Amino acid sequence: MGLIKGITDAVIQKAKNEMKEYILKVMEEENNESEETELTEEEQVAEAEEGSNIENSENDDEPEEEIEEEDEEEEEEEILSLIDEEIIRLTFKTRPEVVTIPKEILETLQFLSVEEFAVYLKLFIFCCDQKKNYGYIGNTLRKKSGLNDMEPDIFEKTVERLSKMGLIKVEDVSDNQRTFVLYIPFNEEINTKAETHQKSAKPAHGKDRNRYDNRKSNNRKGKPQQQKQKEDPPRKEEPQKPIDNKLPGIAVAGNEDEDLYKSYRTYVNLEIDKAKMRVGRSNFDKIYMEAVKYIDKNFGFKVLSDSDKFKEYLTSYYISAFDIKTFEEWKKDKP
Amino acid sequence: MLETRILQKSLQDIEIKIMLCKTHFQWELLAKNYQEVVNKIEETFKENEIPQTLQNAIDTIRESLVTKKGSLPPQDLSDFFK
Repeated sequence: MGLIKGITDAVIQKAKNEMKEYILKVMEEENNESEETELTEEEQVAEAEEGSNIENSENDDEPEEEIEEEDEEEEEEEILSLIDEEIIRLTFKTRPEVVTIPKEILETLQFLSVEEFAVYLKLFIFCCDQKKNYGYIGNTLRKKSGLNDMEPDIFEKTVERLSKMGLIKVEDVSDNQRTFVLYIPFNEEINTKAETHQKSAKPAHGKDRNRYDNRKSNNRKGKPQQQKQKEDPPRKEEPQKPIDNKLPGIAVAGNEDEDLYKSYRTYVNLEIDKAKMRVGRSNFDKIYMEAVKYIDKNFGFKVLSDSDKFKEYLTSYYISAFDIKTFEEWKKDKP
Repeated sequence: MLETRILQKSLQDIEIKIMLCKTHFQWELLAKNYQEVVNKIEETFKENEIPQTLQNAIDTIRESLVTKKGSLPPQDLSDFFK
């Protein structure tokens, strides 16, 4: 028994020693590992710092590069025209009960972005409602066509893109006012071609506008007379035809609705007064200035200096500028 | 040559009067004067080309007249609608 006990004690003692050695080894290994990890962490931190410095220095250059890239992208962004036809001014014979979108437009609309699609479609609906595919571009248009929630900048850019696609034509009537003509395929059954009284107005986009600007600056400098004659034929012609037969100042010969016409004139007068109140004195003065310049440019100085004619054309300008109903529209809407 | 100077002087007179113009009535008189002078110039240089100086003066005064008309108080249209 004593021998067996001695053997077991020896075995236990040896096991204890081995266990001690094993634990010591494990602890040493753990210590080594922790030292290595600390070192690696420090290295990583150092590397990270270096990296961030490099990134910072790179980031400093990045905004400029990004801006440059964006600019280049914008410059390089070439939008091809989707429509080959020339955009003409149309009027609808009647206000359509059912607004139908021609298939060729639908096919074209498939290519548009959501914003372009929305703007075109809203303008299309607006045009159907006002029975003409043209009008003034401004806050009133955005409000009436249900686009007033859209940021003005985005609206402008979208219109510009649509213009490049050939779906809308934008013209500068004056320095502050622009008109648009929306592309709607001509349908003899429902449309009539409107008189293009603003033919001489300059397009807002593209080369033509630059050409206009050049002409303006050249006029200031004083160009040779021959060139001037070539560039300014409308001024020499001094057209004296009325813009259209909707001028409220013109008494239409044999007009059966003479009384109605008189009340229409009163309506126009009231609407102009309302618009005057709405836009404010200073803005109204600006609009008047634009009207004077427009009449001189498009219809000649003789019209400008003839008091009665000037008033006729001025009224017509106000009707367009303030979206006052034309005689036909007013007659139909009259209760 | 003398005639050109006289015509140019007439245009200059109109230009000065434009600056003093304050009513639509005055403006209309000036516009009438301007038209008369322009007609006279066209008649004088019927066969020849209008000298560049005169042409420039015609354009400048026309521009001044248009700007002046625009800067006058907007014309009252209430009589026109009666």
